[in-house]
Amino acid sequence: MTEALDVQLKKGVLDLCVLAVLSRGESYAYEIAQRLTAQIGMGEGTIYPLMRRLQNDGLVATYLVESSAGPSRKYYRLTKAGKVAYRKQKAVWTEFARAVDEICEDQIRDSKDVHRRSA
Amino acid sequence: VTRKTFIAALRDGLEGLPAEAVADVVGDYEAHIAEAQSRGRSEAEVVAALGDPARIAHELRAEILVRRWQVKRDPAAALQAVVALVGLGTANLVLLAPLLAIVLALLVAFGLTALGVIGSGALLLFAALSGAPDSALRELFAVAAADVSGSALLALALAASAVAGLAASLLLGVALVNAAVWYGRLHYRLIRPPPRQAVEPQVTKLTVIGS
Repeated sequence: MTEALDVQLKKGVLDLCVLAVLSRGESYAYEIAQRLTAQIGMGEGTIYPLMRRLQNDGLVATYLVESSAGPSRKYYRLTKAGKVAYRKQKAVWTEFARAVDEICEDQIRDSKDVHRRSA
Repeated sequence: VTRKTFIAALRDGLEGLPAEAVADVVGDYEAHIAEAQSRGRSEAEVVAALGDPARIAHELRAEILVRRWQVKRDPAAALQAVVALVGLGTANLVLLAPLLAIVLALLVAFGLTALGVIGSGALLLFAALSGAPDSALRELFAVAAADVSGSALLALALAASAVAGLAASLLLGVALVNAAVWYGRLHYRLIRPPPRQAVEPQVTKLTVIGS
């Protein structure tokens, strides 16, 4: 059950996480994937379908950067629409996280009250 | 699993897509593996961390076909995109499919009716202009159109309303496919976490670097 919740939550915020990483600066898929696998435990290979979807939706754009060693690297940056989407999604998330926290904390307080009363 | 088998499985899953799109995807994963190796990770470890290539190919295929639908709005592209999304094997889409089929059938029927009305309108117009006095079609509309110009007008009105109906059903069809795409995408299983042992060593490596 907790695993199902875990997967559902991650699926929902993956887009937001990528947008957040890119809002702090342009990056390439390997680097973005490393951030997300280390911090929220995403499968690394997931990054490419995800980036393609964001690109299809016009939220990110790509460009190639020549590198001195090896082939050129594909960089991603937020488009104007991507920046707007990031702002909106972040606001939704912040609000939601706060609401859930509040509910969970109420719950804890209530159960403590019950214990105190029954004691 | 080696790099070679991973890429081969990826190619298998993308079969039938434009060569350019497949090359693009394969290039992404080749670059990823090369990048990892240049940072001292082993080939086996990166490939395991990437996840199931068949699953990844499924999602990329859906996304590539959605893109095609976005660029060229034709029935074939619509069908391919929807089929690819259904192919992701989402239980809810199976429930949705009959409903989608009914609505699509209704739309097609509506479109065909509109075409038929345009056709009969044109026929009527032809009959009116050619002035054939005993035309059965003219008799059909004789009450409303007492003379030749009247029936021509009626025919034009019929054709115009049919064209409007056709346009409306087309717009509705496009909106419907877009809705199906949106719904299908909600059910991506992008995140399936890789097996624990594939992730753990990498995480500890990162914390070592960080500390």
